[in-house]
Amino acid sequence: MTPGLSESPTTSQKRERELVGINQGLAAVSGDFMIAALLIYSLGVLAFAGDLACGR
Amino acid sequence: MTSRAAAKAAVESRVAELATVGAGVASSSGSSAEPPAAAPAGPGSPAASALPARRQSFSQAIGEAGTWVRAAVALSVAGVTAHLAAVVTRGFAVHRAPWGNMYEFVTALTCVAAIFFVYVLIRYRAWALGIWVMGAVVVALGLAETVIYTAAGPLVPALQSYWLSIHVTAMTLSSGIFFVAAVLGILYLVAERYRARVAAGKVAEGGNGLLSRIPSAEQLDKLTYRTVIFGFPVWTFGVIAGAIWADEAWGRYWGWDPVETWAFITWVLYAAYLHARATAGWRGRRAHYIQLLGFASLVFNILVIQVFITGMHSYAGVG
Repeated sequence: MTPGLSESPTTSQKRERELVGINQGLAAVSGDFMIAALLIYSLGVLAFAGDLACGR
Repeated sequence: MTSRAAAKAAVESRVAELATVGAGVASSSGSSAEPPAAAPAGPGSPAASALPARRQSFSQAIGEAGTWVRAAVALSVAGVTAHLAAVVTRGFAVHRAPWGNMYEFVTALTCVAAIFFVYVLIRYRAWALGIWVMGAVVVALGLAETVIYTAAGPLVPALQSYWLSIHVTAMTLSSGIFFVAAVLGILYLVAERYRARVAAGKVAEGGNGLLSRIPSAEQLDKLTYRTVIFGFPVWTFGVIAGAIWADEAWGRYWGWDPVETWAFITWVLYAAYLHARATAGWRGRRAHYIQLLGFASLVFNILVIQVFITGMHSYAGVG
């Protein structure tokens, strides 16, 4: 086994090391907020449509 | 003498006509900015329920607008809050500006568009525009979530620079503003066509419930102009900041990379719109076609050039 080769990180190891810096919990919260925003916007659009259909 | 008098009258008329261009912008720079002029309620004008006058306070206006509008505005504000929270938490999760790939760029862009529109909604009581602009935001955000979703990850090495926070932030802000302007521009074309049809007697005024509810073409024209003139300097700054970043990263300010080229084309088209808006004979419909071409080139740059064309800006992270 060549010592130099065994010490150099592979691409997947590098990727894993980079991902350690990502806060996955916060990223999941961000995703939930985004879905919530999409749902609330959709309800808002429905309300605007309701105004067009039934409003003054 | 008669011909000289006629020529003088023509020049005075032309000067008066040009003097009105951008008047809204001049007034909007002050603290007591006037809203778009009240729509003429004459025949052929779809102004029956156009933007309400801003004489009354917001609480009065929203009180009179009815339950549906109150619910819609409250939901829009709540949606913007959740959207902003999503972008900010994504930024904290990845420890950088959260617009490092296509998904993040589009979600941030739509967030800017929604914030900007909620401001317009509250400032101009533009309830009738809500379904169109917020509808477009929902479609764009829905596509981002389903088609180009990218999990939180590290930034590609080429983007690891403080210039990301300067250049891409400016491009995100201006793109979001241009997004709203594009929807307003399309509505202008619809309102203009409706007005022409009403004037020609092909449609009874108020005959089309949906079209008769949108603001008048004049109001939409002025609102679109104000929106573009707000976004244009930001886009210009973004292009210049990108050139400075390119010099730092690649050793040249401008290399006619496909993305650079299309950003420049977009800049030229929006500059042409602003020029056309001030040129008699090119106002109205023609000017709005140019504005929409500008937005089409922006979208083409984001969705086609950055995804399918390999260049120095291939960071979309899609596919």
